[in-house]
Amino acid sequence: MRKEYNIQDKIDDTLNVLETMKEVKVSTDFSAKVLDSIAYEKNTQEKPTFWLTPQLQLAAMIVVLLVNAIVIYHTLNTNSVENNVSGIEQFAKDYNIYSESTNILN
Amino acid sequence: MTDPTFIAELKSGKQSAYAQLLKDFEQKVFATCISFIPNKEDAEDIAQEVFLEVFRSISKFKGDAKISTWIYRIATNKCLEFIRKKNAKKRFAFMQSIFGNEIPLDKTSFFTEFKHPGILLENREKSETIFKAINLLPESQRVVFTLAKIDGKSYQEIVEITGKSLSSVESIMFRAKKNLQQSLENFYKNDT
Repeated sequence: MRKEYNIQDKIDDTLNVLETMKEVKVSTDFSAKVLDSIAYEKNTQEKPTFWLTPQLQLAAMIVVLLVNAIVIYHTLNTNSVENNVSGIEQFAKDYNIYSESTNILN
Repeated sequence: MTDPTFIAELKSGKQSAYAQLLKDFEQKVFATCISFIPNKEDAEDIAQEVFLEVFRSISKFKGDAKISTWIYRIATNKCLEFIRKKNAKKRFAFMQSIFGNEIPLDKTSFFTEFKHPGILLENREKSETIFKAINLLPESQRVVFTLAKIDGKSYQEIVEITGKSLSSVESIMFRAKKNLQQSLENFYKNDT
């Protein structure tokens, strides 16, 4: 019983310490340091460059899409021309048995 | 302080506005920081971070709350972030020591070196004990208890800072006190 009473006393004493804490003053050069940091951050802050504007980003995206469309269109066209070459000629070309001359007597 | 002209000046990054803001709030913000982190150097570093965060985020400040409430909210979050990081580092160092790597582990399990100039020498041991016990509380209880009992904020201010209702703050405070009593009881039972 006595031990429990002692423990409760210790707990109360410990909790009461919070009441005795004194105010701690911030360092005198604190605001100067903060203002310097703010000024530094302000100067180094990257200003948004003109190409970062949403309008220009949209225009860039349209250009990229257009270039892609043109390339795809060209590729498909080339393929269709190549497809005109007969299957046998392509086969001969693939196996290096193709000759420019079509006459078998040559 | 929530004068729209003043806020506009802060948003435009005017140096004199920040000087005024610091004049009005440096001590209060520092007091909040040192309430959570009982180490003057660490508390000042965090207070500095708070003002830098104000500078970075002032454009997002809508003005629906008082600027003081907004700043205290930033300060509280920065302190919790600091404690979380330090606790994680301690856990990592502990794991490293288990696996045999040579990382010096502090004798204390507390997240920071205890250096609070506002504490009398004869109360130092008790203060360390109470701060360690507070650190064991769940985050919401730690915030409410620290703001009320160490930083000396009123319940109304805590309601504004935490965004919780008054009844919720009161109930969190009740649970915090109960848990602290329990931790201290366990501590002193093991101590004797």
